[in-house]
Amino acid sequence: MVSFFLHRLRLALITIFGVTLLVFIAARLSGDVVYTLVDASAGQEEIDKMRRQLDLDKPVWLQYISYVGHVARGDFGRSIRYQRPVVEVIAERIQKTVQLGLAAFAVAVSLGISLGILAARTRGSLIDRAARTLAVLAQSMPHFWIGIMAILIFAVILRWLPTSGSGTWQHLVMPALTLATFPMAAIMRITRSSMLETLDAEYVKFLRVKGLAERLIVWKHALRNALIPVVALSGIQLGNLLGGAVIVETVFSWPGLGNLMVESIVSRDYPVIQSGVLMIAVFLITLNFLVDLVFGVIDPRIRYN
Amino acid sequence: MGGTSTKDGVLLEVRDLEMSIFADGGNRIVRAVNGLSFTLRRGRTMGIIGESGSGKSMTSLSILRLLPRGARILGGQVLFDGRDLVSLAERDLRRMRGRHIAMILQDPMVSLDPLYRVGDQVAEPLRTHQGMGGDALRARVIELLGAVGIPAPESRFNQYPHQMSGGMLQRIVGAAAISCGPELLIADEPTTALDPTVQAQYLDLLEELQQRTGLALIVITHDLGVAARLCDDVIVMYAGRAAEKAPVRTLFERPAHPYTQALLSTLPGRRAPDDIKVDAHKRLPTIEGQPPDLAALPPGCPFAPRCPRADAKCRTEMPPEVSLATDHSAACWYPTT
Amino acid sequence: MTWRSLRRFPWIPVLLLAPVVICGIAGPLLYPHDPTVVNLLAPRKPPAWLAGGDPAFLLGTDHFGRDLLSRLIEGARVTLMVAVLGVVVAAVIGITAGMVAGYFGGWIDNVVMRIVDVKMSIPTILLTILIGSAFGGGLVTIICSIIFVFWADYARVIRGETLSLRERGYVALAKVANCSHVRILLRHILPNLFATCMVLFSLQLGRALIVEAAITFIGLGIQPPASAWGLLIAEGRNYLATAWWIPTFAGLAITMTVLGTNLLGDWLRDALDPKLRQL
Repeated sequence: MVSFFLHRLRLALITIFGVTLLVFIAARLSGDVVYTLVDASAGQEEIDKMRRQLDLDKPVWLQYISYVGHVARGDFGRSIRYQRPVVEVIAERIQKTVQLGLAAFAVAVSLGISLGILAARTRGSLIDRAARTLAVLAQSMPHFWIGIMAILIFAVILRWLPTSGSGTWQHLVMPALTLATFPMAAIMRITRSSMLETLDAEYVKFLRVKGLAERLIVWKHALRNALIPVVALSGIQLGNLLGGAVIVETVFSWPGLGNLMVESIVSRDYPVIQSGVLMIAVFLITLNFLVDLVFGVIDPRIRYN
Repeated sequence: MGGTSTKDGVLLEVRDLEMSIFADGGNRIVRAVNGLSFTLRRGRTMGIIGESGSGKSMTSLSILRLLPRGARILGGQVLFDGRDLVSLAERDLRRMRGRHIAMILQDPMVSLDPLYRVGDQVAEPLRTHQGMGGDALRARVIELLGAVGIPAPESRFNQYPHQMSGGMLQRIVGAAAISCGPELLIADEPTTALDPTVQAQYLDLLEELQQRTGLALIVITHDLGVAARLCDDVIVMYAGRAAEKAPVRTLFERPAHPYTQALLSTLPGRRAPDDIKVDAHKRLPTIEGQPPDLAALPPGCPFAPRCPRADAKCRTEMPPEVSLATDHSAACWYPTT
Repeated sequence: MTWRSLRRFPWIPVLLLAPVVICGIAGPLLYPHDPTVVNLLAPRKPPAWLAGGDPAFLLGTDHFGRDLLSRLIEGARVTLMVAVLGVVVAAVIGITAGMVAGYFGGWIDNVVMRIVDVKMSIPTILLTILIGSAFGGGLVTIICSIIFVFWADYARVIRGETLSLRERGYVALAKVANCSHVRILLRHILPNLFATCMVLFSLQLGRALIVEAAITFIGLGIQPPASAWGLLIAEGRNYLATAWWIPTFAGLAITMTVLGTNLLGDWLRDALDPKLRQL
């Protein structure tokens, strides 16, 4: 367990290093930051001074080290548009994205797993085929189109829900469901196939031989085994969810982090984009590392090896 | 319970059992068991031997009605203590499984749920069938683990399957099977998955359990040595039918069916059953020709294409079961007498 | 090789994809109208079968009075070209990286897999935005994004397959026979990866279409006045209450195409190699 933990930790740290490098390269390619920090009227002397302050006169590798140093101290630079530290700008938006993401994730996991189990237990039936068809269809539709169609039907035509914005629970319904479709379909498919595989396993046969109730076999034994690949997938799905949030927040004008990122493209607020990507990536790497640890809890084979 | 069958000590009576597997949406019908009948008395051991695909494992699964997908029992009866398991409600049948009839599957390495402690898995039948719980349950499980020869059962209780060897797991599976004191234990290929030293120990254990508890045993095997060692009576299966039924000594000394003879002829010399070594790694001797396709059985005797004695009658008419002596019969037009 | 095992003809995916492919190839010949001609006298005309519809504009017109059907056909060209080009380049890079990593192992393998890890840790759309921040919007960003997103999946899968192929007898034989590494990779390993590559390509094409539409939708991809499906949805979004047909038909076009490639991929996988189920 300890060596497994250390191995995972090492991989996570290397990946974080890679992400900082990638973001650094993107930042350098996006133009000279100095011009975003000084007034248009600034003279050459002032520009050179600023350059020295930011270590931009040093070799590239030293610049990178200086960048990592700043980031490690929580200094992500200033937003060009808001003229405030990037950290502040991002922090204001995180709560909304977490709210949306958690709602969508809860829907995706609960519906995805239940539908997957239902489809597996009724293999070949109408329910099974309908669930699988819906899953393929859900994975073939772009998020933003589902969102726009939802607005058209539920807000414009039926007038049941508000078209955009946030505040009440009604505002949350459409964005959360839209965001949930894709991961729900993925979780449903993997739950179904994993459950089918488990129900065919030899140890399930032995549980039947022992005369256990079917309810106990499915819910206590088969489900726990079948959930292992589902948990493995849910970390990745949470990443996809954050990516999808960018689109869904834009469609519904949901004032979260994703919306901020898209606004920042328009206003060319690159420090916000780059720091946002870095923070989200580090968050996801940490999360996947934790998912690996959760495995240790579910699966004794990892815990003891 | 009760009825006539219990008086003469009959525990299990299988009558004309037929089971088929419907594959490819019903386009291919695999006739796995075709009119099998046999009787097992209390406390006795019955061996079912045959090549893979002869229907021996399907027979054991049919007895417990734990059928693979697409399989259906098309006819016959399985009378256990006078009750027909084929027509029993699923609920009542479940109460029989693990309590009155137990079974040990082929491979102990995959017979236990990897995510639960072995002690809990041995405890499950006791919890389900006898409503036991708490310390009494734990004590009983530890006692059972000791009874199947597991050293330091208290510490083994909390281990997970992946922490144990194949031989140890075999014993755990055995402990789970006998936990409720079943009258019948079915052992499917009890030795295939084990290495030779463990095999012998395991057969000893089965014998010891039988002597102590008086349970009846059905041993499914392709190993003539195992059959010779453990069984009172043997059924030789071929293409889902009983080719020959006989007490073990009779079978080895005076085989009547040409298929049995072909099997035995591959053993070096003529031997009494006691001389035959248990060796699961020596597969059931191969004899010339292919076993028949169970989805396209010929009209006559299924062994006819491989049989030296076969004539036109064998190829067109199914031979009936001919009684040769008490408890000895063969399904052959020309049995050796 | 395995083509014989292709059982039934995949009618559904072929029927879904055929119109898109035909529009992509023969586009200009099929336009009922010039998709770029603005007609301010006929903005937002509904589809022909609805009240107020004009039979000349089968699927209606957009906010500038341009024929929606013609714009969809033009969009098919752009959309398909970008997605196919991106996925092909990604495949070439990914297959090469995966084969080299799997075949040589060691530090090369480590470097490739860590780069894959980095890619996997950043959600696709955010990666696109990051690339957009470096290069600005437009075709370059969109194609770079697709390449950068999809090469990693190829590399990961191909590496795994190469690892197991490397242990096969004939590869060992080729090594003993002193074949060069390049020869072994091209003659003995690459042909065996064919089925995997085909299945991956088909499944990724659908995902690339979605990514492309999403990038365009947030304004980093194809820019007006060009026509792309994602762009039509983005434009139509502003006229949802008065011209629902613009985003609806554009989205249906995307869904139909992606569904087609997904089903084609599923079918290819089952026909070529059922073991590829985890793709």
